Amino acid sequence: MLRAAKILHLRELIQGHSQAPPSAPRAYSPSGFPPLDSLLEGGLWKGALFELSSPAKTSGASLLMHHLLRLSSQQGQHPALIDGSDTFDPQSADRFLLTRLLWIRCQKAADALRCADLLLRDGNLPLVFLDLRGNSREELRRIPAPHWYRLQRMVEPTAVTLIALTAHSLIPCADVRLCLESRFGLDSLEADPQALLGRIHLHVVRKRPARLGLPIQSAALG
Amino acid sequence: MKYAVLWAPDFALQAVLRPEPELRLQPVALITEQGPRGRVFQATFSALQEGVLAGMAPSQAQARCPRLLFKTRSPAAEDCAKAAMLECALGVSPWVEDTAPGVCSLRWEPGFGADPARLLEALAKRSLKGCLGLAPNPDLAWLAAQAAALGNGPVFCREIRESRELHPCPLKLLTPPTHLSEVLDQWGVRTIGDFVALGREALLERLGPEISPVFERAVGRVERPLRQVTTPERYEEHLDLEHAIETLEPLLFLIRRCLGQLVLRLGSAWLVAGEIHLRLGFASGGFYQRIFSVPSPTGDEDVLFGMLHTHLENFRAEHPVTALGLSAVPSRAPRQQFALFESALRDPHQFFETLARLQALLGEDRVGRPELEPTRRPDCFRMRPVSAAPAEYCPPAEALPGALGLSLRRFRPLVAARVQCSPQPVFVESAEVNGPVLAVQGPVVLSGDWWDRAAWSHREWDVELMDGVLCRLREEPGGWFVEGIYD
Repeated sequence: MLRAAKILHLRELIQGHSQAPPSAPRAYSPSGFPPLDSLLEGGLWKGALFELSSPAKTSGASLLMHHLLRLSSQQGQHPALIDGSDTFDPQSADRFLLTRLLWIRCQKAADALRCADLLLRDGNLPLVFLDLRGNSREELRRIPAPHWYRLQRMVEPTAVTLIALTAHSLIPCADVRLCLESRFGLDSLEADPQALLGRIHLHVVRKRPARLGLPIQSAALG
Repeated sequence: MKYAVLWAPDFALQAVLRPEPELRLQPVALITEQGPRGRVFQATFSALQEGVLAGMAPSQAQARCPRLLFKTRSPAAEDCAKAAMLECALGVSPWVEDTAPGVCSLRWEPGFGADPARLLEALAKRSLKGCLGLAPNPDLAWLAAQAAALGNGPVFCREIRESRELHPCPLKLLTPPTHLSEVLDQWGVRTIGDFVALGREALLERLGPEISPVFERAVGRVERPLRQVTTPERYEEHLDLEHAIETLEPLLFLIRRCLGQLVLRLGSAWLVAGEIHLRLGFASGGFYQRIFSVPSPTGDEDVLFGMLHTHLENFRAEHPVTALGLSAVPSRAPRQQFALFESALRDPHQFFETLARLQALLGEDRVGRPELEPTRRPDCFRMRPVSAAPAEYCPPAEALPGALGLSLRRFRPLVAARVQCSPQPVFVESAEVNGPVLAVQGPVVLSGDWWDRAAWSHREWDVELMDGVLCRLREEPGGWFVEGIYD
């Protein structure tokens, strides 16, 4: 009893004295997609792992990805796409995007994760997409959870934004989990992409507490 | 005016031992060729002390010195050593002559910073030991360099102002013909002074006109211009391995040494490496060659070695390596102003090393920038490697056609499907998409290359399924396929 009281007292002392150092404000850059920016209170977080899941096969996830890649290219950056199942279609993409995009064509999810590891260690590319929608559930289930934690730890100290596209929620440690639920008809095959973006329904499934902060620099200055 | 001669004694042996300078202290003999016709050509001091002599058969030499190591003469290694010597000399004077193997003559200009100690030190950094002779003409300077080799001091350099200073030196420095040398030896003429004292006329009368050039060299009367060499444009290091290499570590060790020499030689000419060419020769007689483009030309040895190391980590060969060649294409150090609205890479070398690792993991055609082929054939593009060169002009984004509608996510390879039609598709069954069709657009008939064997033709349908999936179907003579899903 006396020992338990001492332990409790000791715990209170520690809690009173130890204070976590004040966190640095999170840096972000506007994505150019207002619904996403408002959900994220500013824009895409730098040094963060995003998961964008889209249960439906036609949900506008690729449309959003192309938009973000194109915007990054127009801002003078070099984005990267790690294609887990080699499904990217250059003929559907913006021509200007093709001049800047680094396309990494994988066949297996394990290779895609290794590539993500290499690009995060490199740290030169500010926006990296990891597209795992074409990989089978069995293959993705074989990825141990610590792999994702390791990726999240690697991206944290960098200025890289890593966005993983999945068919269902997969990444337990993602800083932000978003879900896309949209429906498109055949009329959308020849519509203006900007108009189609307005039809995307995006909601936040989970978001780590965002630290208040000002954008360190606008996206145009990289 | 003054001239200098830089001489590397036992040049052929030094050339072969350049990658392994520690062997100089051991008994090593250089043989002319492998096989029974080979003879000892040159040997280290340790081997000479054991009684190994030039002209011996390898078996004889081995009998004299059981722990003798043999190396085979290598013309390629001698070329590399010669290039290294000339670079040293060109760093001191622009008037340099490639006089003989291991010998180069240069016009000595002290006003331009020519310093004997620095020149010999520069040569030592290239794993060559040399002697320097300074004199009023090239031939006297050559004699002075040979005389310097006889000296006992730490720096092998000798300067003479007139030929009389060489009179105490042995007659063999004048390299007279062998039969005349024997005659002079019988006469008791052992030094250059004894030889000159006989007089020109007396020597001509007794030994014939062959002795005339020898006498002129002895008195230092030969004045001749230098046959100037130009700066080499290619920097190479070559190794013929005595023992084949089967593992990576020893190969990397030798590559690192060669790279160090290349960087040193480039640096002395104020140049950096723009490209590195690697060539590996195999025991089977084949070879492997690869060109590494340096993203930002540099003289940093660690960066250059990292590029080679990354590539060789995933390199496999069926036969052991018996020769190594490394050459650098020189370039000026980059002076490039970054574009004002362009985001530069934080660390270009790190980025290109990452690209090399990605290519090693997935294959060279799986990493890069997609470039559309000028054809209407679907899914026709090529992968362009990411270039280190400054970006070519690219039209602004507004000038290039933008994408329309939803993007297609392609299946590679195409997914086979069973489609029920009446006559348009009404039900789709495949590994990726299944279900009744809600709406259809098409068919769109596509064809191309009709003039060629690669002629193609098919029909495409855009369908919307009941579950909301938009997909593209391809109808070919062989059957139906799901080309991709719109997303």
